[in-house]
Amino acid sequence: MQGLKKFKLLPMLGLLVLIALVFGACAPAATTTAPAADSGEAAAPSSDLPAEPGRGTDGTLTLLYWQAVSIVNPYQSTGTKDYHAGSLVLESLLEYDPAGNLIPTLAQEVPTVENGGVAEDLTSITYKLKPGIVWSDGTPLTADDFVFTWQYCATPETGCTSGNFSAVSNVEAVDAETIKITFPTPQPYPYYAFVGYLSPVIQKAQFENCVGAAAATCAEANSMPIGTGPYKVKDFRANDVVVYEVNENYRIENQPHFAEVVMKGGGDAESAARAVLETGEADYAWNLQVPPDVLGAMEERGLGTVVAAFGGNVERILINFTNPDPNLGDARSEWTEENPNPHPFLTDPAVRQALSMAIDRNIIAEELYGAGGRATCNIVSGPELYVSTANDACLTQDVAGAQALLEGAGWVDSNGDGVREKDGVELRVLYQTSTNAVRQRTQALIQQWWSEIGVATELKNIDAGVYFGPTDNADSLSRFYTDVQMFTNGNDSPNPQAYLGGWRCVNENGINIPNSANAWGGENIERWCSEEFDTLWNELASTADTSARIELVKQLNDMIVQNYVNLPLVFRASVSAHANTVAGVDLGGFETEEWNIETWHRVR
Amino acid sequence: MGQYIIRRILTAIPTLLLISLIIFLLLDMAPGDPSSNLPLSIPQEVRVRIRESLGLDEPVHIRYVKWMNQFFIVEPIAAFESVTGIQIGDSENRLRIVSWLSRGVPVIDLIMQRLPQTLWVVGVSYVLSVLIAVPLGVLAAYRQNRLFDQINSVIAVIGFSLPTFFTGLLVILVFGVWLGWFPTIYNTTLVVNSWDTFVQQVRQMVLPVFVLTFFQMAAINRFTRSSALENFKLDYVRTARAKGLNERVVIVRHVVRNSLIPVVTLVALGIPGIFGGAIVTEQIFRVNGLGALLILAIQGNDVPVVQTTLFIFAVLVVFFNLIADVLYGLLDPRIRY
Repeated sequence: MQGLKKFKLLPMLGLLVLIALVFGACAPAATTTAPAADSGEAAAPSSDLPAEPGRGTDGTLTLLYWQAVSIVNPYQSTGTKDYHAGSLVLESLLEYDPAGNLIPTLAQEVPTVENGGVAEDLTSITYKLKPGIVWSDGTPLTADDFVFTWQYCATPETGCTSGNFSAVSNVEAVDAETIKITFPTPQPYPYYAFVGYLSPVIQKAQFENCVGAAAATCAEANSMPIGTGPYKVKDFRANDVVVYEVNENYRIENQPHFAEVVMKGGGDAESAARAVLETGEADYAWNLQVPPDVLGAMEERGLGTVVAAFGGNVERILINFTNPDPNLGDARSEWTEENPNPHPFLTDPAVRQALSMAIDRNIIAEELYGAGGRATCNIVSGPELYVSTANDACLTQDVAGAQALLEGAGWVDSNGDGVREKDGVELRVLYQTSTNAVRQRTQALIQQWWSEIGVATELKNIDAGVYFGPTDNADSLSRFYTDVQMFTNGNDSPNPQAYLGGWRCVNENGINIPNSANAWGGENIERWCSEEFDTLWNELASTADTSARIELVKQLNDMIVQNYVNLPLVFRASVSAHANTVAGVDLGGFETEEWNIETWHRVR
Repeated sequence: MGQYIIRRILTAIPTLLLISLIIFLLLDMAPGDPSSNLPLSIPQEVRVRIRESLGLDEPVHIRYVKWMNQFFIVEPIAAFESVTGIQIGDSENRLRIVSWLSRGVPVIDLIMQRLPQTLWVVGVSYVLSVLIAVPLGVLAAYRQNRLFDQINSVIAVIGFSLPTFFTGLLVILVFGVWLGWFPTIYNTTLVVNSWDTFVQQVRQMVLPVFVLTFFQMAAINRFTRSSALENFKLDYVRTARAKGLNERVVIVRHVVRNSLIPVVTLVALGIPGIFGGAIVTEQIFRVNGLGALLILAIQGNDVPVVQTTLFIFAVLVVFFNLIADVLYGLLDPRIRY
């Protein structure tokens, strides 16, 4: 203790500085990355570029992903951002162009019945690989890699998050360059396995020891998969940044044009938009869920452009056809074949139609979604060729018409409390959705409109993790313990067959309506049962002719919409922004936004 | 003293065990898992398969024991192996605590990856705020109620009351958007190996460090001031002045030394906060340190990461509490254990 009398202020402060230096010493030392993403570099002047973009001539491209990338292997991913990160590296046999057409990537051509690639009985499809394709490590890509990828995903313990192989019974290598995929039942639309960013091919040599439970120990393979795409991962920091460099073995000679791609995560959507549109620090920002007026003001600075990718996502209100009355206990919202448990007033078509007519979809789309949404009346709103035009009348709000309709159906406000009733049943609805600023504002608007037609609405919002989470929680959307609910869903493949199949009453697994017997696993959340719909869907599932399929899709869409099973509100897009110094961005909603990144280059 | 330290360490063990149990149970009760972030089109059976592959179908007590085993046995062995290079047993197949979102990446590796930028940004700002706040606080006490003291008070109150998400946005707007002097995106892959990269590193640190220093300074400043004020009134100061010592010596050798005793413990208690990162500030400037790691893991329901980082924070808090108590005893000879 004696020595402490010599205690001095300066040495103490010096000690603090020393501590800081020691901390500093463990600062980034083990990394191999070149400096990137500095403000000056991102907006590099175009003067020192060669006249024509060649391989790796255009410097660094900085992409901002405010939801940071966690993993590059899409088969282990639980978020869209990871699919994007994977799509720079991994490729599939076919991909979709922005219009929703299939184009060959690793395959020589799109197999069809006409060219013999699809069997006459629609139970198998055969792909031929383009010759001479090699992985980024220089070894050849063979049909064995495809067989392996399927086995990897089909092993339950792998925990594969892709549903693209669900209809596949076998994948075999006919020879080194020919892959045959077999289905147990005829598939008029066989383009799921190895098509698009959700189902790329992974390298057998790299993932061989990652099948089953071992998948959880394969950090290296999951973060730095070897691929055939234009880039390969150079540095990966989970939930922070992915740095890509050119795959020298990429099959197109002068591509990709950017030498390095930095996918930086963190922050929030608004600051990401600012970095592209206002400070020019980054070249591209993804998923800008920013109020339309804020985004518009940023765009006016002229540094960048806001772009939207429309896929098939539709924000909709679902109508509950069963009675969610809490007094029923476990029997609330419970549908069985013997007891459909009908809703006291939402089973009346006039009420459902009136609810739809009272909504001004254009106001919701313009005020709350801006570039990210368009008013829609169709549950299938994309791709364009499948969209029905029979329902466009709903785009015009008609409060008077809705009132007259309810009046005519016997729903009147006899006690003057502003709420219509009939036979003692009052039009009072409970309206749930996930907690999200835009959704709560939508709820408030609709609550107002519905009050104008004499329907009282109580609002409820639930944390997204619970609402979209496991069905064992009573607040999950499949339980549907309210009268109406709202969320976004859509076809993630341009073929809406599987998506429309969600409204079937009975599917190949049995009852498709969530109830206690199937642990709320069904897809028909509205609990709407129509034999007519099921029959028509089965016809779609056995029709191969494209124009007939389009007609059937439209009919199915109209059947759902015109029965007001579901009130489509807004056709939603993912909004992004790119710097005006970047050319080549061409978004479609059915591929990742980087699907053609090999052609992106600096404006000259 | 030695006995006291040993006694404190022994009582820390049940405390930490209890904390780990509480963290584990709370997270277990919280709804949601990684499969709830998947697009709606992914079928239920795929979701069930994912939950099973994460081991979520096992009962909670088994998962707790497994996690304890991983944290106290497997992870220390792994750390020992990576430091010394000596293999102990079957290290290939030992199951470390791995992230759910970044499947296969050990949580400890994630933390080590994030530590540098957190220490750089949050640590430097902490050191800076101590270096600035202590002299300011002493000077303000010396000039009590004079102009300097009042200006200093106003600044401290502003720093104390403005949240970092506000000052953060403000400096981004002024220095990033309008003036364009500093980058607003922190580049974690930057390697400082030349003068140029050093300048870059300093430039990208300026805004977050400023925001944090401004905030942290306020409390230390006020604390030092009040502690120094008390001392200025004491008899020993009058004695020193009566001896004819000049003011410099009175302040630096007598007042500062004595008034720093409570400040040092305050500073020591704040150190675990550095490791916790500054969640908001890291998020605003995309520093992606420990704070950002924790927030992302919470959002993505990455339970192993949340559990492990929270528990490590708990260990640090307990540890620095001990350090603060010990320091207090060392600095103030009147205190004996």
